[in-house]
Amino acid sequence: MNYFESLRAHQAYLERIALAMLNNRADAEDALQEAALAGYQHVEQLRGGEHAFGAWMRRILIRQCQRILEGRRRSFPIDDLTAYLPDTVPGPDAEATAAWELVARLSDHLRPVIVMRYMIDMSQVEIAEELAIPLGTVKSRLGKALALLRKLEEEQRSEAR
Amino acid sequence: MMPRDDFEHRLGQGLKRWAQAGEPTLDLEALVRERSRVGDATSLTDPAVVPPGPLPRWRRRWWGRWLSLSAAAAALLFSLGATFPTWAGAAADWPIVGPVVTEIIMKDAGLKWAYDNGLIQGTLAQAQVGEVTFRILGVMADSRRTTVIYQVQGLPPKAPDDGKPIRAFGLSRPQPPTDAVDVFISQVGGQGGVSFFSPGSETPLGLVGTVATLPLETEQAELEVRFRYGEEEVALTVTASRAETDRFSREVKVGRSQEVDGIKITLESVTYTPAETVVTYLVEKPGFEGPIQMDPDKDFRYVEAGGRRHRVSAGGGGVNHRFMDAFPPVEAPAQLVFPVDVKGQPIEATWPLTVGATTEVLGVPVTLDKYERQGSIVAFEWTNPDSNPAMEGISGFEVIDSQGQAHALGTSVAGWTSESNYVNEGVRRRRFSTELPAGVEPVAVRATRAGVMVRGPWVFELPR
Repeated sequence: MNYFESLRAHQAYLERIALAMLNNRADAEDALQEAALAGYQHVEQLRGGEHAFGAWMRRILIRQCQRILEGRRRSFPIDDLTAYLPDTVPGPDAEATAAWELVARLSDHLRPVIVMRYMIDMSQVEIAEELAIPLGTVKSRLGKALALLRKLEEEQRSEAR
Repeated sequence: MMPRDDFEHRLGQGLKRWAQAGEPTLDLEALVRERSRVGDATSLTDPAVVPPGPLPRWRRRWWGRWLSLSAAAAALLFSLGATFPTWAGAAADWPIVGPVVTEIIMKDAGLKWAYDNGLIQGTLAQAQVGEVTFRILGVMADSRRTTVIYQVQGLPPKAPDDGKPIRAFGLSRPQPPTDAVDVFISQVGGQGGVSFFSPGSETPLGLVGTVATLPLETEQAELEVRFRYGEEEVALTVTASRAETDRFSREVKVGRSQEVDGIKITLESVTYTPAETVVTYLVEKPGFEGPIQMDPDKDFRYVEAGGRRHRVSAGGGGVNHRFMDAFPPVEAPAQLVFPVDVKGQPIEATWPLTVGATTEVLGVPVTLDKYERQGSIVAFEWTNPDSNPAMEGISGFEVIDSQGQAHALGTSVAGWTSESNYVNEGVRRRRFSTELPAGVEPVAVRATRAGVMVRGPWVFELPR
């Protein structure tokens, strides 16, 4: 397996996951680069070869994203505020773009669980392990996030009428 | 589990399509190659030398961010009437600003706590040799370690890489760059020290990084920090004190042991600090030298408290099989859990230097798959089916000469080894390269130890 070939094959998807987790292009680039470097340095730990590469890199990336999110909770960036505004990123169709724009409005607490559950299809148990939070917290965040998303969508529909 | 309703279904499908619609925007390969210094021992997969090129995008962005913050900080200091000191060899009041230093501090819970509490404040010592300034930006001593934040400014531009690492099937002889700075730390009048050195980050403020050593054994001590740069060696002395950090810490002696299948782990003490839970433990077992592949998802040691598993947040390093690990702050009841460990088992497995030669190790046929010699450098690769999950590879290598004499290979003989040990698609690959002892002409290679995985768990209740 050639690490860089495999990375190239998954890069576009990984970039979008980082962007969705962090909702900020600059941080997403940082996370992706750190993940790519970590993967390169620890590729020997990959079990299952090429078939397992995507899931393995995704896990590394999610951990990098999680670190950045934790850092954000501790300190607020003061140097380049514009870099931290949410990005508008179009999808392939209106419905996909609308789905992302809804999720992009969620906070750093709620957005990652939605991304992991509905974009990556991780189970609630896997999310709990990955974010190192209790399963109950995952459930409550998912519930809260879904309620908010439904409300946001309803508001958008009302405005459109 | 509840089935997804229409909203959830639409959300999931929309998000998936959005995620699949991305286009790569970064040259990740260039970024990774630049940062991993291709050619050194860490780059095992694809050791091609990177041609010089434009700065990758990440670095440009990062510099831009740094400069904006530096400018803001400088403006703020200027407005406050602060002046930058002229360096005269004595300690000066250099403020800790800039994302590099703060990033180093923020990544480490103990350093962050000390910084937040005003224990890391400014330049403590500096010296100048020619154009190069060596500076100590901060010292933090606590129950886990003693850490120095250093800065080196004025280094000449890096010499171009000659691009000629010695290679044997992807393993490289480490080529220490001639322009590298090494930093060592020791306690003045102490027994000598163990330094955990992190190569600094190159920043517009020069090289900034940390070097750490074991915790101070007295409340306060003088530290000697030595910078080695080419032929130059510069020593700076600073005072470190645990008084403040100890005031907020509580150490509880434990002294409980558990033994599973020849591996004995003793939890010696637990220290609760505002920033970390630090466990000190001793591991007694027959050793196995060489890299070990662990499953990062289930074989990690952790502290379990309140239904959560906390991974190690920082390792304090180990000396004489005594280790210190830091976890996030937890309150009892909590458990420290070691799920798995690896011990060495004596074996005597010999291969003639013939590719394809096979010898059985712990019931597994191990084949010498590759052998390469370049002058005094030898490199071996063995493969075996991963049919015994307890067998974690081989180590303790010797070469046998035509007289039947065994010569140990490894760091005690040569100054370096380059090795890997991993399983991929059901096949374990064990690679090892090093320098032969002078004058030795090998006819065979032998492994004297096998790694044996032992599944615990070793579980310790943390005291209140």
